[in-house]
Amino acid sequence: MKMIKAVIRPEKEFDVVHGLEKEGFYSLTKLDVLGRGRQKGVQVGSATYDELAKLMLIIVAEDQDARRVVETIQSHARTGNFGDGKIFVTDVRESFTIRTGKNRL
Amino acid sequence: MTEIMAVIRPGKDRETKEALSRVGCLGMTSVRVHGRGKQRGLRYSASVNDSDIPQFVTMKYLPKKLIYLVVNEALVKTVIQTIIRVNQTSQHGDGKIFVSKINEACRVRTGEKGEEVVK
Repeated sequence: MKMIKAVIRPEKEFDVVHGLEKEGFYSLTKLDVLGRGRQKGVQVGSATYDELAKLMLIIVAEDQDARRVVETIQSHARTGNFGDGKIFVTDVRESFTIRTGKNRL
Repeated sequence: MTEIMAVIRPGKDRETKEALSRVGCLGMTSVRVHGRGKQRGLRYSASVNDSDIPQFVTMKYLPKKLIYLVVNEALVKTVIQTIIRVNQTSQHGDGKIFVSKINEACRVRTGEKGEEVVK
């Protein structure tokens, strides 16, 4: 299994979630985060924004689906400007459903 | 070292914390998050705006608590069992537990590394 953590623009949330839904990935966790990238935030006139509001989506998918999830997020979250976000993929060894106690997604 | 990341009901976090400290797992991080599972949130009928005709109300995301802990290999099974025992209500929305490997840990205060850090 893979855990996909995507940091995206908050205004793109609906597009991305809707896109994932169409591909059949309904489960996700989202959290509001602040962050910055290589540009060290943004500078508008004399005002500097050190950290920008972003949305982090956490999705766990089977190995064979991970690539599809990443591509879906990528195609829906992209605007072509700086600040579109990043997607990180990590390994998950096991997962449990608390309700059933079963060892599967 | 192993990272255990669990999404649980927000009302159960205190109970979970107490149970985890009883099995010897004291450190953890928790965040309030929103999420949904296979059921795609919540959908129920209720009367809206004092009308007599019930309508479907949907909640796309439900408030949850996300807890992270990093433990030694020996504790992993106990921790998972404890989280399941405390949080199980047999209804949808109890949450998920994800287990993954941590390559390195470092204590910021002293700079020490390795298994010692999460003891």
